[in-house]
Amino acid sequence: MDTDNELELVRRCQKGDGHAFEVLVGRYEKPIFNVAFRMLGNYDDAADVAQVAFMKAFENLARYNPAYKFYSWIYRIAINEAIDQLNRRKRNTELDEARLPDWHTPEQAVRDTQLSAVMQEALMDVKTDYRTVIVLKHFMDCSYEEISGILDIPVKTVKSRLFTARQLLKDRLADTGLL
Amino acid sequence: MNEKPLELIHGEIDGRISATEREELRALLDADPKLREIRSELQKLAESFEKVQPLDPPAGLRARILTAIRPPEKPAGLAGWFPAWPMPTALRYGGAVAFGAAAAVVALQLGGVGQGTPGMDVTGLAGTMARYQEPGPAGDISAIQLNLNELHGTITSHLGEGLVILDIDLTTTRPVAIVADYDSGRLRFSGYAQTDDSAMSVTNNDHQIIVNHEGPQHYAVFFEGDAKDSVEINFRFVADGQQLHEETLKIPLVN
Repeated sequence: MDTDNELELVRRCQKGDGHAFEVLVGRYEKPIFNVAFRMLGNYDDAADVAQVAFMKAFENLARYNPAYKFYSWIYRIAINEAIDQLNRRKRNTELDEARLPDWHTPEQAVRDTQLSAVMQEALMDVKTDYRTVIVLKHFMDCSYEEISGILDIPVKTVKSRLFTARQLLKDRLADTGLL
Repeated sequence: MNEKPLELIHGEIDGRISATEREELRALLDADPKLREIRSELQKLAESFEKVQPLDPPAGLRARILTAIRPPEKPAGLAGWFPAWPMPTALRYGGAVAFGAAAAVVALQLGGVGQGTPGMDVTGLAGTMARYQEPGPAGDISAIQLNLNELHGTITSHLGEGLVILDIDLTTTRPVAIVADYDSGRLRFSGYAQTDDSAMSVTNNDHQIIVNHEGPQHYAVFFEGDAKDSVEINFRFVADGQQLHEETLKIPLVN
């Protein structure tokens, strides 16, 4: 990612250049949606979370610290929104259970390979802390240090969570015969 | 098991071990078949992650985002119809929640009117997605005018930013459900926006949206459309299980 160019886009946004924000939305729409989807396991919730994440990013651009990479900042917003959404789900478990199995758009049904579906099921089975590091490491290609920055936790904790998460996922996926 | 060999395996998977550590791991693997098995499984897991393809976002997501945060532009044509920026924070966030709530109703596949389905209670799911400005009569492309005892007002269609937009401005003298049937192969529900602060929600179940009205309400419903010529939306107005009126709005998509 061209961070200089990105910083320039952010500066233009801060000055009220809506087109610059459109460019950022175009650049990050897919990764942010995928972060949300892997955290939530639900296509429509992921779209909602992505929308709110961009809205919050837009609104808080004045507080963005250019010392950090823009994607770290917006990933953090998206992760926090997804966690909020998961907490809302917990408060309405019955509704959640009723909606999760069936809600796939036709497009997703076509694209969702068995691997993706099994992987997602296993991901949803592990605690949010573990899922988050897996999503950032393996779906967003973030380094330990980037994950540390995004989640505001020490690198040592990132590694510890990542190793435990992999162990848990390995066991779950072995049960499904995927590994 | 000792943690050190596992740390080395994870480090190897992440490309984060030194040459010395690699040698150390090799020696440990040579001596421990169980460790070799664990390493093999973790490597397969890492390969599995790589095989999972990223999903494409919904086609209308970018439009939803940009509609919600659109900066001020010249109010010429349809662009001026979209929400002004900056909007009050509460309204925009409330809107996102409302949209999520509407999607939740979609997810539950709630449909029909007066079926007594427990899930039909959408209390608390109401909200405001965004404010917007009407484009004025010049932006109208088709309309229904209603003047019944139980309800009066207009339903007007507009086009903008790749969206088909219904501007619904109706007043009812008693609870009336508006049931709008559309061809889901040609239109996809994309959200709604209010111009007033009344509590409302839009229920969508693939080919049909339902809005329960009472009193004056003014809002817009957004659709994405694939059609090249025109689309039709059939409106039924239902009160106490009785259909009061039915009318079809034809929306030409080419000016």
